[in-house]
Amino acid sequence: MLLEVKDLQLSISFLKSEKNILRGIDLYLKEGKTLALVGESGCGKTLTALSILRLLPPRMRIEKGEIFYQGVNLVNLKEEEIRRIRGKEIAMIFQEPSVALNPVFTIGEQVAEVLKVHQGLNKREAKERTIELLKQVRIPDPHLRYKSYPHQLSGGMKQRVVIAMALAAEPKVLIADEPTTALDVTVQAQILDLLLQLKEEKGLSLIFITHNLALTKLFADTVAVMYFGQIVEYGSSDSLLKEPYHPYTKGLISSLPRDPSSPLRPIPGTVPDITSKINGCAFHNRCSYKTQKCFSLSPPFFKIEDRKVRCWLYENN
Amino acid sequence: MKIIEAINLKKTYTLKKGLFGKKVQIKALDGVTLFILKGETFGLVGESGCGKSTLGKVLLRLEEPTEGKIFFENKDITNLPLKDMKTLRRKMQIVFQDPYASLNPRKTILDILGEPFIVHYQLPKKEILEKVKFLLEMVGLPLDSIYKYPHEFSGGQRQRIAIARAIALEPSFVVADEPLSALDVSVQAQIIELFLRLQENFGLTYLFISHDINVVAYMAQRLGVMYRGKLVEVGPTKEILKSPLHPYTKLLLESANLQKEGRGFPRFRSFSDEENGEIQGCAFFSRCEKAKLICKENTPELKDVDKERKVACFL
Repeated sequence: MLLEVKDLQLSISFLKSEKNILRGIDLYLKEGKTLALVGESGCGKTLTALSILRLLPPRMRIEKGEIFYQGVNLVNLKEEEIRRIRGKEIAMIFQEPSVALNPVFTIGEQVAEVLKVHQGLNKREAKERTIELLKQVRIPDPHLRYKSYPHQLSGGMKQRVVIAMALAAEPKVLIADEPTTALDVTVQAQILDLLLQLKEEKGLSLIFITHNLALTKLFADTVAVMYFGQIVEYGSSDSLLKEPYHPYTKGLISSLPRDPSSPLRPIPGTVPDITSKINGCAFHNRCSYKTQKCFSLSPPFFKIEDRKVRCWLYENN
Repeated sequence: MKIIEAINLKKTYTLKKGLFGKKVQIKALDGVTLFILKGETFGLVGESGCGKSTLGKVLLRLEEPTEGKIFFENKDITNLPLKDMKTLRRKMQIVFQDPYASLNPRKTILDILGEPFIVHYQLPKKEILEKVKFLLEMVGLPLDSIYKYPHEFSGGQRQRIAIARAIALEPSFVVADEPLSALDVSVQAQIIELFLRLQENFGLTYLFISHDINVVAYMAQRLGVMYRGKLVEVGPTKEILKSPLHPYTKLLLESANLQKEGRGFPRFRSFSDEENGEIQGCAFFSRCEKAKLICKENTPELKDVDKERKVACFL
């Protein structure tokens, strides 16, 4: 196992009181595989990723749990030690490429900086390597583009630069946080294609965060569906998409407009505030399958073959 | 009956390259002709920068067209003075893409939703309160939202407020400019439902702009595909989905469908930034796999294929 998250619990301190955010997350990432984290905004997907890199916002704290990367528990590492993992072993790309790039430096300088810091290359070597990286992410005319500023590039090109930066230090794990949400459909297809090719070429392992379950089909080996700081369903992407068990996963799938003749069935209601307290199953107020039990008791994982589901409906399976 | 019709609409923006640089003309709309029937949803798809939003704004005369004519309910409104436009605006409204930017953060929901009634009808406060309550109910927001500020709402709820504002004066024509792209998939579905329900209740006509062909296909009876300021294909949604004619429509469909069917990615040449200047011939030429010599030299016109379908392609 390359990366393993065990019972991760995250909390935020707020006016002297502690509030839970992540309520026990378990994740496994094998080498060369892709894990997708799926769920609506505000369910804790990004915070799970940030916990792995220990890039949490102020006042947030890992309460409990372990994160093993190649056998090392990242939770206990000192700041200098985690810095050697961040970027070099585990890198991350974010949703909005225009925010991730510094507007006053050329894109070449920004990629080269990563190489100078992590690989200790000198100026000339860093430039050569940068151009090579820009070529790898299929940026046309990398020699000329080296001198471009972020505003001179389109959204898709900027996301390519961000990917080049993330890959500069040759990480083993790449966390992609909604990398295509801000992009056009045609560009989205190109970027996903690029990620898939790079994964093959470099033997990367991917954690792919998205709110669109349909995207995982192309990509992911395993899918973890998140809701309210918990994983509610976990399984291989093929079987999970074909036959979702958890009512929330079902809702996410039926929310996608696919066939104009089959009506949309959106999930009623909205995502609860992740810091609030909910008795019983966190999804019960939006669930159409709920029973009396769901109001008072929070369901544990039930195992059905290779699938894990946090729902009382599967208690007796 | 046609509710709105545009004939050969053009809109050019002039950009100056650098302080003393030469002026560059950007053709945001390059001769768009279309009509929308009363009560239907007309979907408009295309990539960013193809002129979809400009078309929406020009139709409402929120931007002035450089050339061409606009008819609303068979009346030429191209040169209508602003005073008369104001009255007409009761009938034509718009919902913008980003509900975080389109609502004034310093006004309460009562102020935001009450303003149309003050501007257009000078209603007394008490009546406005009633109207606003009715609107909130229509878009499915709790009544205690009335004294809250926009920041207290989620993205989906904000979009509901923006929709409530658009339907406040009971318009007949609403432009929805990418109203879903800032929202989560599950919230998108809720907002789509809301649009459809309001259409049924108020007999609205929509121009629904989106880059996601799946969403548009779900909503719209007729579809227009735009590429670099031109309409390249128009027709009934069902037929376009079944047999797209223009290579660009095919590309869009393939990019969108891969999410559905999970097969390989379409490989295609991308749109390069250098092409921004003057284009000769077909605008899609450099990305088209089936391009012929004629495509480079001549610009294809939007021509009838059958009674309802039109396409701008030499193939």
